[in-house]
Amino acid sequence: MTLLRIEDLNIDYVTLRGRLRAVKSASLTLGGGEWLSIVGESGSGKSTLAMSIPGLLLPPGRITSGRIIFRGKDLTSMSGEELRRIRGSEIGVVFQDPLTSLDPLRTIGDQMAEAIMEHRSASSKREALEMASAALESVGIPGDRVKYYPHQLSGGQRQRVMIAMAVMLKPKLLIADEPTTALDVIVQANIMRLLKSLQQRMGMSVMLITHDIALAAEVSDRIAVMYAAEIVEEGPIDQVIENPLHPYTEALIKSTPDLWREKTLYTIPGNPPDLRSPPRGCRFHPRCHKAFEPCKAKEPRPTRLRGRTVACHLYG
Amino acid sequence: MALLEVEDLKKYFIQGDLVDRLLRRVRTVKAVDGVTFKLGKGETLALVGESGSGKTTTGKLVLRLLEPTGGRIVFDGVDITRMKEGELRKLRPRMQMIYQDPYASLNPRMEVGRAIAEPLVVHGRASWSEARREALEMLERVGLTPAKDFYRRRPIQLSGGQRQRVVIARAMILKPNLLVADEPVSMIDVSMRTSILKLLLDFKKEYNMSMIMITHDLAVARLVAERVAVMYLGKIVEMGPTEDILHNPSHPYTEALIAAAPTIVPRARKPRLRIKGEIADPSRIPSGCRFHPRCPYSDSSKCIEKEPQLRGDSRIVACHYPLTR
Ligand SMILES: Nc1ncnc2c1ncn2[C@@H]1O[C@H](COP(=O)(O)OP(=O)(O)OP(=O)(O)O)[C@@H](O)[C@H]1O
Ligand SMILES: Nc1ncnc2c1ncn2[C@@H]1O[C@H](COP(=O)(O)OP(=O)(O)OP(=O)(O)O)[C@@H](O)[C@H]1O
Ligand SMILES: [Mg+2]
Ligand SMILES: [Mg+2]
Repeated sequence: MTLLRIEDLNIDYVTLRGRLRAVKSASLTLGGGEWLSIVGESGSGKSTLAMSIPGLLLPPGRITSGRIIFRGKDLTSMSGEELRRIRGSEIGVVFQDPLTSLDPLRTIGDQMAEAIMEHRSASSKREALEMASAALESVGIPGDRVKYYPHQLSGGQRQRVMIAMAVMLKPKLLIADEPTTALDVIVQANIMRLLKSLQQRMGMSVMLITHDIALAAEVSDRIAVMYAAEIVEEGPIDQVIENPLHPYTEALIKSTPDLWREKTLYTIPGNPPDLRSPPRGCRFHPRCHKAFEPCKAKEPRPTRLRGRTVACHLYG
Repeated sequence: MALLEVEDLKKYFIQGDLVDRLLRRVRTVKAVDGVTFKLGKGETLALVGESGSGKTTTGKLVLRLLEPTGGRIVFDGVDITRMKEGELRKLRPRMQMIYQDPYASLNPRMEVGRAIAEPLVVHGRASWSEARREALEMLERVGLTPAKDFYRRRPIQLSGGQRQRVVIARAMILKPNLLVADEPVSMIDVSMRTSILKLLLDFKKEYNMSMIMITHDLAVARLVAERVAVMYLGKIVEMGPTEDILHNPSHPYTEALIAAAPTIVPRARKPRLRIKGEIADPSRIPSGCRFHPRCPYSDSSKCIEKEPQLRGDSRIVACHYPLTR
C-alpha cells in the first residue's frame, strides 16, 4: 500500500543571486510501514525535498511543479491551515537541532500539551499532560520530566523529547532530518534503535535524511541517493549497498570510513557543483571515473531496472 | 624520546559562588581525573569517548590553554605544567589546536587568507607581505584554488569542508610539532571526512608532527591514529595500538563504542554489546569502577567498591573483568 507518492517534483529558491533548483524532477514512493532513507552530500537537496512534504519549506523555497500525494490527497494544493493540521497528527517531523525547536522558557510538558491540545486530541490540559508524560515514557524518559526545562536535559534526551512530540499523535509518516548528527555515537545508536522500534511498534513509515550511508544501511528498507538536486538511484537497501548501479552511489559507499571494511583513504575526486550552474549532461560526469561521451552532452533519464531506479547512461 | 609526556593530569572545575561556598553546595566537576600517556615524535594518538568524557579538556590542558589542577605535562623535555604565560609564548607556535566549534575558530569579518597569514605576523615570523605570500601557498596546498580568489573570501562564503581546510591551513602555517585536532571532521559530511583527514596526514608526515586526534568516531580514529586511548568520565580506561584495540577490545566500554559505530557491511560480525543510560555527571562520579552503573558485565561488589587500576604494557586496561579474546 502506498502512503506517499512524489511525482516529478521541482523546487526552486529564487534569490538576488539568481534562481537555484534544489530539487529537480524527483519521483519517489513510500509504502505504509516502510523506512526510506535519503542520502547524499551536503547541499544535494535532501532537506528541501523532505521539508516540502509537510509544507515546511523555508522562504524563498517554492514548489514550481509536481505533486506530493499523501494518503490520496495532493499536499501541494493544500492551504497552510490544512497542512498545519496534518503536521503533528499525520506527519511528524524531527529536526537536527532540538534546541532550536524547543522553547527554552517553557517546560517540555507545557510544550507537548499545547501541541496535543492544538490537535484536539485531549479534552483538558490535565489529560494532555498525562498524554505527554506517557509519550516521554515511550521514548525512554521518565514521565515526571514533563516538569523540566529543555536546558535541564542532555542533547540525547532533548532529541528523545523531539521524537516523543513527533510521534505522540501517532502519525502515519515520520520525517527525521539528520536527527543524530549533533550527537555522539553511543547516543546516536540508541536514538536510531528507538526510531526503529517505534516504526515497528506503530506501523509508521519513516523518511530519514542523512549524509551517512552506513547509518541508513542499518535501519532502512529502501534508500534514495541524491546528487546535485537529483535522485540518481533508488531501491531496496541491500541491493543498493551490495551492488550499487550508479557510479556516485558506488563512490559514496567507498568513501565512507567503516570499521568493518578494509581501511581505505579513498575520496571522491572534485567537489559537488554549484546548483546555480550545474554541469551540462549528467551532473556527476566531471567526477565520474566511468564517464563517456554521452555523459557530457545528454541528461540521463531515470530507468527502471530489477525493482530499482537509476539515472545513468551506463544503463541506457 | 617522547614529544609529550602527561602524568596523572587533573582538571577539576569548581562550580558555585561565595554563597554556595558558605552553604557548602559547591560542586566539583572532575572533567579530567588522572590521565597518563606518552606521545612519540611523529605519532598520532586518538582520544575517543562519549560526549562529556573529558577529551576536549584533556586536549586544552596539554597545550596549557587551561590551568591544570594537578599532574605534570612535559613537552619536548621541558616541564610546562606551571610555566608562566610569558615563557609559554615562545612555545605556543610549536603547539597548535583545531577547535571543536567550527564557527568559533574563524573571525567572520576577516578575509580567510589574512586569517591564515596572521599567526606568522603575530609570532614575529614574517612581515605581512611575506605572510601573505606564504598564506597563498598554503591555500594552494590545502586545495583551495584559485588561491587568490579564496584569499579574499569571508568564512560565510565557504562550505563546511572548505572552512575546515582554512582552519587547518591556519594551524599548519607555523609548522607545529604538536597538533591537537578536536573533532575536526564531525561537522563534515561522512563522504568528505577522509579528504580532510588525508590533508592532516600529509602535514603530519611532512613536519614529522605529533597529533592528538579527538573524536567520538572510531572509524575516524582508525584512519589516522597508530594508538587509541579510550576515555570515560575523565579517565583513560583502555589504551593500545588501534587495530589491536578494534579487533580485541578489553574494556566493555570500548566494546560498546565499537558496537555503536554504524557499518555498511550487511551482517557484519560486530559485537552486539549495548549500554543503556547516559554518562554520569562528572561532579558525582560513581564509586568503584566509574563505568559500573552502565556496564552489562558488572554484577560483583568488586566493581562497585574498588576502582580498577590501569594495568598492562603496550595494551593497558582498567577493568576488574577484562574481556577475553
Ligand atoms: N533558504 C534557502 N535559500 C536559498 N538557498 C537555499 C535555501 N535553503 C537551501 N538552499 C540551497 O538549496 C540547496 C539544497 O539545500 P538542502 O538544505 O536541501 O541540502 P541538504 O542535502 O539538506 O544539505 P545538508 O546536508 O547540508 O543539510 C543548496 O544548494 C542550498 O544552498
Ligand atoms: N569550564 C567548565 N566548567 C564546568 N564544567 C566543565 C567545563 N568545561 C567542561 N566541563 C565539564 O567537564 C566534562 C568534560 O567536558 P569535555 O568538554 O572535556 O568533554 P568532551 O569529551 O570533549 O565532550 P564532547 O564530545 O561533548 O566535546 C563535561 O561534563 C563538561 O560539562
Ligand atoms: Mg539538510
Ligand atoms: Mg569536546
